[in-house]
Amino acid sequence: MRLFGTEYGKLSDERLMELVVKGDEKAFAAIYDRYHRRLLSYFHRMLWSDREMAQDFLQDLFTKLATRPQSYDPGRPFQTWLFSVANNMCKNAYRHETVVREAAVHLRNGVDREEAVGGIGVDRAHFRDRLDEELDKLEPDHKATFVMRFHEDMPIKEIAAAFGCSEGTVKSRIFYTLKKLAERMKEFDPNALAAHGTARTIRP
Amino acid sequence: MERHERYDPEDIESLLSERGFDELLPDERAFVLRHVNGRGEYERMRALLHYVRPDEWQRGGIEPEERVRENVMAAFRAQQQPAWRIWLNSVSLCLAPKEAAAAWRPALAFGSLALLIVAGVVVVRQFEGAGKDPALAEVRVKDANERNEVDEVKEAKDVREALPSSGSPEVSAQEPIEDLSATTRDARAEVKTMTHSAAAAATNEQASEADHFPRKEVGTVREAAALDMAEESEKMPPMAAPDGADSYLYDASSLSHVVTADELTRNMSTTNASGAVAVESVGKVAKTKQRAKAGAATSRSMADAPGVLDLVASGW
Repeated sequence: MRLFGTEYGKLSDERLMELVVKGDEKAFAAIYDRYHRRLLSYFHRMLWSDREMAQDFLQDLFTKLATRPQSYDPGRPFQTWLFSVANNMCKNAYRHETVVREAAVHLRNGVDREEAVGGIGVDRAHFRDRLDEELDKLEPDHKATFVMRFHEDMPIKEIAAAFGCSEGTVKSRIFYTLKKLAERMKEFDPNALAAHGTARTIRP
Repeated sequence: MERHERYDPEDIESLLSERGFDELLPDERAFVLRHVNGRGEYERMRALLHYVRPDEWQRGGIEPEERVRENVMAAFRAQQQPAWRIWLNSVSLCLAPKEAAAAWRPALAFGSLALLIVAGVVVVRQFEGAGKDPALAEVRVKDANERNEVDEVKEAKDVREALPSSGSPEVSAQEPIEDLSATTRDARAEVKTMTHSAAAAATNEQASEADHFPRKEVGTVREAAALDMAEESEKMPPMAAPDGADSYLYDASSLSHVVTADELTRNMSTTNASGAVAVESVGKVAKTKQRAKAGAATSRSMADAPGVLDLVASGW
């Protein structure tokens, strides 16, 4: 039976990819609409908050998907596969643009920062800048794991699948990333952070 | 007794999320203290985790530009284009193929184009030649000519059979068929002239009737002569040979004269080819008819005067 336009939104990612391989343009559009925001945000976080570069990477990723949809392995979850491709693209960018990355870090270090003294005076924007700065100093895999886990709210299992590693490796990366960030961001009073933060239930 | 760990080092995240340092059980606290440097570090990590998670959510994302979607969809449509377009696009690669193995695509494209062109030319020629086929028209003309020639040869043969075997050796064996046909046509005109005169003398009434017979529209003098001869032959009753006269001169099937060498020479000339002799013969026919009409009232029938017939025959 022919699929109507309203039914594409109900289909799973894997089913949509089957249709994309057969040349269904609407299925491809549905895939794009479903993931383009998350991927753009991921690229933006991973690529030093460069908006234009994030747009270009998003376009490159879906162009690859359009030209070679057969490269998708139907045995894997589509989301995991998609983020693994995105992560590999970011790793390549890290390799080729080390100079840019170092320059970005250097620029951030040159910016006058107001030292937080804790308490209720914690500046959220300032905290974000410091967090991004410290994330850029991390290894790409650790940074990607942190972004996937806390920004994309992906389960440990999917992150492990995206990286092709064990769940223990992902947990270990998260633990040491938190430990390193806490060590480097001592200026922020933990009590103040805890007062401004909102506890949430964490997905396993 | 071997001690078994309840927690893996990686599971500290869940402890950080769910419990403060003071809320940890003794086993959990012992496990945590093996990986962190004390209560202060644990609390900093916990505060950071609690602050980072909602903050990451609240950051939101940037809005993608519409051009990205358009470009991506255009790339997908281009990928789904028919393969033959890709072949045609690869024609330009033939000029500078990067690899020898990559030449099969341009070759295939060129081959396909050549086949299409040849097929198109064949189809167009077939459609154009369907209405007017010059070869077929030529065949028809040829058939008509052949049929005319066959008829003429047949008539010439009849004439030859009518003639005495010893009287015209030139016609029987030495002249080609085409010349013979022309000669036969001229001879027919002469025969018609003689037939008119003989018939006018022999049967005046029939000759006058034949003069009033409605004539068909004819295109050429030669056709007019042939038509007249045919009509006269049909209406002419067989003549009885008088005593002492040559029988072949009065034979019904040979109402003609003997073709002599002089006549053949004259008829084979270019003047004869142009029809001048035939015109002259037709003119003779008309004069003979007029004479027959004029003398019909006073003259007698030639059948009643064998001497006149002998005189005419000897004159010829």
